Amino acid sequence: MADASQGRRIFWALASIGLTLALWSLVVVAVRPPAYVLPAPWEVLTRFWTDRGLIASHGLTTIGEILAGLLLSAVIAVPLGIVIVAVPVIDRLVYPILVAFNSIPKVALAPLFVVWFGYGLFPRVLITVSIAFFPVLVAMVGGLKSVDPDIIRLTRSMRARPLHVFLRVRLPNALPAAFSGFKVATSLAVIGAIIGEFVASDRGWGYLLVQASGTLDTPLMFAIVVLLALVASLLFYGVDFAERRVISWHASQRQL
Amino acid sequence: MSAVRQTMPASQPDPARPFIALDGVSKVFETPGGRVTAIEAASLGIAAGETMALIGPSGCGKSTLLMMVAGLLSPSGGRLTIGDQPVTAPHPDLAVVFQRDLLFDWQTVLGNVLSPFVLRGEPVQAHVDRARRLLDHVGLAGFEDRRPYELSGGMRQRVALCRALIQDPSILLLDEPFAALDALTREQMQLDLQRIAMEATRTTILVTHDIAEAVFMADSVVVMTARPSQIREVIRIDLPRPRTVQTRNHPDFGRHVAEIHDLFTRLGVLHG
Ligand SMILES: Nc1ncnc2c1ncn2[C@@H]1O[C@H](COP(=O)(O)OP(=O)(O)OP(=O)(O)O)[C@@H](O)[C@H]1O
Ligand SMILES: [Mg+2]
Repeated sequence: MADASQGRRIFWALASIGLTLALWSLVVVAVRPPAYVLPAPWEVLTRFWTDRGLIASHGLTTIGEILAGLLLSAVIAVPLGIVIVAVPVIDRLVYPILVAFNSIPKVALAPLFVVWFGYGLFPRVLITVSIAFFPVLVAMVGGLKSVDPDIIRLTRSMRARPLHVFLRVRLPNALPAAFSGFKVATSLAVIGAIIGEFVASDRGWGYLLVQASGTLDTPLMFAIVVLLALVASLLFYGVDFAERRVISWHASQRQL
Repeated sequence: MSAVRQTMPASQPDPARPFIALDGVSKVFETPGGRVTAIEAASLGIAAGETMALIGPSGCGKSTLLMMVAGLLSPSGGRLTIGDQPVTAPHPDLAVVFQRDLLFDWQTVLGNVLSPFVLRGEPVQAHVDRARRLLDHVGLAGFEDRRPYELSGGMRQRVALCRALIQDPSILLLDEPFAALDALTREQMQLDLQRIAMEATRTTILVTHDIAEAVFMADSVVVMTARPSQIREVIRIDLPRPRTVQTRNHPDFGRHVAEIHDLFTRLGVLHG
């Protein structure tokens, strides 16, 4: 049953990719746009192959930033969420600051980070984290707080200890929300890494994109954009896979 | 009488006062839509070891009353005591089965039954065998490692009952624990529960919609009505214990069922 539905999912994913490629090819054949406006899928593929060394070496940088940014986001947001919910004073004190920080367009911070930290890996990861960690935090806080009040009454009737209620009830109750937040964070981390490389880098796919734009090298730009979509999708499905394993008991994981 | 009682030190037992006692207890909910009076001046006494059934139409305040006795809702007025102590928190020797089963989705069936000990930070090892026996007894042997979402509503409710019984409480509060069961399983559970309630001095309050169930299980049946939310009558049931499958054939059984039926008709809850 699980294998069949897995197979069906993969079939539909391939079908939607195939459809996109077909439409794209159709437009190129019918309209014949110049390659610097819209290259054909096969031109992008060729380009991808000829420049594979360049693309791979820059890709390592970008993927490293994305993974480091995601990891740090989780490492910061999960404990911070726990502290915010566990200590009401911190909730009242820190939450408004975080909301205010989140309302800053993070792109605007990138040039500032360059002034502070130069062109290294660190400022780029920092930008990635600044964009990706907020949805994880909000989801974590929401998940920890939204326990059914009757469940809390039940634990009181059992004379449960607050620490154990936190670890055994609030934490597992927060997992589904935390996973949702983390899924949102995966695509934001990709955005963060690229922005960081636009502004503060001489490496990475973001940097390559800027270079390619300067020389009207549209096939290379397409190759990178496709790769970025691929990386973001893989990350998303990776989290999705982990979610299926960890919270198989949750309503979101059940078959209709 | 209540004036006399108030002059006594709280710790001194008052022989005239029942184990669980309500004097003019009321509950008003303040909601955005206005004030909702869930209970208007309820007075009741429950002796230690007694089984009391609360019966009445939906919305008459049965769950609210139970939650106040459980120490999970505070009364808006009146006096509520257990063993002469005012109820301000859940009694240390009490277990509740809520109207909704409230199982922990992330725990197995066995984990749910053992959760009271886990949540108190006590070792569970000593209780595993008993947990399995309880589950076996309610017909859930073989389901120990399943998750709640794999169970039917009636099975879930039985897990919730095991989770309360494993605490071996001297006060057992049950809010429609058999509502989701088929007629046969329900009858078996009624038999088992009245035996479990009898084997130790267990004071039990059972909320139910079912007149026959109330008469079968209880030493006294409290008849409640909605609008106004009041206790209308307390009916003593002196059927011999233990109650068995034969109890339903006892002439008093049918008489009590008819009596409560008539009472609801007179009160306008039932009309033909
Ligand atoms: N938390 C609450 N806030 C506001 N009103 C409430 C609340 N809980 C209960 N009530 C109201 O109090 C009244 C009694 O509710 P209660 O749940 O005690 O009824 P019940 O007798 O248990 O009904 P049922 O048989 O349907 O379970 C209802 O009118 C309900 O709307
Ligand atoms: Mg109720």
